[in-house]
Amino acid sequence: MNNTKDIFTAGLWEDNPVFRQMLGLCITLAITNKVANGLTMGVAVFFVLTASSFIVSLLGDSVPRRVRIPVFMLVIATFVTLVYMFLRAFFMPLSQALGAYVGLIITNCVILGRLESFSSENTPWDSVVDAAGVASGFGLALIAMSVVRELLGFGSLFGVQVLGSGWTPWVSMILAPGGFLVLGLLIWVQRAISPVEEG
Amino acid sequence: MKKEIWMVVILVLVATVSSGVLGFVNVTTRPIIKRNEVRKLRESVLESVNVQFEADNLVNKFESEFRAEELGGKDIYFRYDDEGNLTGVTFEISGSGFQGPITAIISLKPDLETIVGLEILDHQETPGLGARITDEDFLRQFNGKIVRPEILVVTDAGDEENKVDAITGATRTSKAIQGIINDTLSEVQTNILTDKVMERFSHE
Repeated sequence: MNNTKDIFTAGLWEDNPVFRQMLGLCITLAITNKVANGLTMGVAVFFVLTASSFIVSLLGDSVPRRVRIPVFMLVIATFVTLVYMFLRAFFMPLSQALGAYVGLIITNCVILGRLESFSSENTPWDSVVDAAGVASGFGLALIAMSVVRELLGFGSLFGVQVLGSGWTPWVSMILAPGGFLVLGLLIWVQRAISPVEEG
Repeated sequence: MKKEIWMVVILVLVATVSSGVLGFVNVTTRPIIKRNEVRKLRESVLESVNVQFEADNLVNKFESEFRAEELGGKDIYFRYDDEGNLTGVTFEISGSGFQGPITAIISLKPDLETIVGLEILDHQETPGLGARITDEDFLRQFNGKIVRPEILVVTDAGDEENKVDAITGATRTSKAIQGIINDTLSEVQTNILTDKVMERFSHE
């Protein structure tokens, strides 16, 4: 059981995909200027990553190494397309808010990275736990970024105005420079809390 | 040799299962997605002329408020007052945005110059930036604006009757909306809603 907890918290915090591994930064920078977008993307990635991890760990050794990348991409693409159709059928407004970015989950290197380095070599249970941990870590990073950026850039959270009319929105926060700035600051904070062990 | 055959087998297997699952889900969700799109179109058309409606009387409300005609391959929705005088026309406009196609609904007064309302149907713009074209604050600006000689989406619009404020950080998307409105309007005026056609539909 201890092992399970370790696998989960590693993905969530010590090996956080965004703050430590610097993966999936394109999506992280692009969609984190509103909390609702960050949260939806987090949930979608969570589903795609855990489901693909489970399937890939079941396939395990039966996939020859030379065709593993095409197989992984097929599995990921299948789940992403499922999410896309599901959102359009049952959550139309969310699907419109995320637009093209749902399709881009396919190219999220956090997912391919986990399948390649963990799920293909571990048991289904460990793989699902690892995927859940990493996806939660990714979601955590998206939400942390978007809370800061939406608050400073729009003065709101989840679209609800929280800072009074006296607040002048920092326009640069919702643009690309704000994304880089907040990402850098959060990486600093995360590393200050749990320093990188040089080895 | 055995290895190569196994590679092909596993790829074919995974691809087959994948397409089977996707095909099944596509067939089951397609009618729902289609229904969503029709509902979204009707909602947008009603919202563009600021008519209140409930989810359960959407179809009735839509059919009582509008007379739909297909002219030149385009659905045009005419609206009449109680005396049967034409009060407005509504139709779909579309064009390229920054990332992909944008489709919207525009309602105009019978002069085909004064905007009554604008609603976005579908777009692929960047969430949080260009995607803010769907925000009420942006869209409401268009109400009452006059497309003469053309609508301009600019940084500081002031009170001018053919200018609206662009979205900060989404200049390309804002310009795209400007282009879509101006281009589609002039095209519809010259090819579909000509003076003759407008005369024909001016009374119910």
